[in-house]
Amino acid sequence: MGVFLRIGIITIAICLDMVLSGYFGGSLISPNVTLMLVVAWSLLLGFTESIGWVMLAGVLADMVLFRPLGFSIFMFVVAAYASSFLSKRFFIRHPLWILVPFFGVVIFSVCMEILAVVLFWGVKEGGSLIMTWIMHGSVVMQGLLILVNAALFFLSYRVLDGVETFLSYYKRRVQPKKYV
Amino acid sequence: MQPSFWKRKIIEAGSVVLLCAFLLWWNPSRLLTPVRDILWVAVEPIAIVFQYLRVVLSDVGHSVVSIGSLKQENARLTSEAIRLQSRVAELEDMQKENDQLRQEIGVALRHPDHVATALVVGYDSRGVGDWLIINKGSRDGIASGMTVVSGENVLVGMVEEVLTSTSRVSLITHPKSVFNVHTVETQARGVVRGKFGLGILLDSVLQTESIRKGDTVVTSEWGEQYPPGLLVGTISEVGTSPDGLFQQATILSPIDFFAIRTVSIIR
Repeated sequence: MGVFLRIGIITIAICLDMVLSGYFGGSLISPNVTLMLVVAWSLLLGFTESIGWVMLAGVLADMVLFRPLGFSIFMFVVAAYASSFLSKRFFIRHPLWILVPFFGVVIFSVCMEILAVVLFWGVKEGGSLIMTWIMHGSVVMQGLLILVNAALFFLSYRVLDGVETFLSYYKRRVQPKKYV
Repeated sequence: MQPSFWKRKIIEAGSVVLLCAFLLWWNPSRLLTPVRDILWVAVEPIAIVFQYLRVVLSDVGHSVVSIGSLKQENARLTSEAIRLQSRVAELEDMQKENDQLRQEIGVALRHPDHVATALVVGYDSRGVGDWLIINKGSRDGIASGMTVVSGENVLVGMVEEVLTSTSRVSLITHPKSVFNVHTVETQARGVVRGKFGLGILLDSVLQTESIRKGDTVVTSEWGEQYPPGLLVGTISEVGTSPDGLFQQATILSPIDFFAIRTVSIIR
């Protein structure tokens, strides 16, 4: 049950990504629903526990969105690792430190996007794309993107928290025990 | 911290990087087509539902915003409809004359074949703005290289990758999209290039040719990618290429590529 539920959540996130990017007019400024889901997962379960799901989300995103295989897997794994790494060091000190790893990851993901554009389009075309992007005032838009992603992150975190609590309850109480 | 801990971490990170680098280098797109096919069968209904919700939400939003200007808009559209009715009558007359002349001199009609009408179910989620995903595939007769238009004859792009029930359409704004065009008014010839989802550029127009703001650009019979006579857009700005050898112009497409709901695939 848990497997299907998690795959369903990933699929819905990918579909949302696909539709939202059209809503945002095809600019580079569109929310990263799947990325935020992956970050929330790695904070909830820890990197080691969530790595399988993170990689699966990457594979599904690459497959469904016609991207070259490996592109999203790499981005998601790095974002999940970075968020998990930072959360272990900052979360325990003060509740507000939640913002530090989170913004770190969002800024990191933006840098990854820029790197991806250059890798995907080549240094010349990708570089000129980023220059056009900066000249069109998209730096301010990136700030907005961070805020949108922040909202998405907290939403994903709450949904996943509920799902994981439900699944652990289901595992303990409802699922029949296997006797050896 | 134990050195073995870092050693293990470095090995783990290195394996992921190497795996992804290998996959990106290998890029087994053909090998993955059956897997993509199966995944899209499952994803398509969800994508259609989300797309429908998006359309409904944007329609409601648009109605709320434009409610004040409805009266003016209605008056403008009524006068536009009258003007277009007379233009249609004139064009129909010319069409008949053209068909008759073509028959007399034995030249075949150049209407492209309509293959299918498809619903747009997804967009390039990296936001570079170079492709659409449509809900028709090889089972509907779609093949790679077919032309995609919106409305009557406005060029959208070309089918690039075909699955059983889905296809990926590369837009004319794609930086690798290059095709021949000419202007309707002055017959000036040139080449259209995509500009990373930011617009379309008319390039390589000779200095001796005349292009002006407002000229209509259509696909030319000189190129083989697209059927001739498809509307690309109108010229919004005229300039010169950096080397000063050619004229360049920015083209505005009459359609918003990210607001298209349905497209037609022609051959």
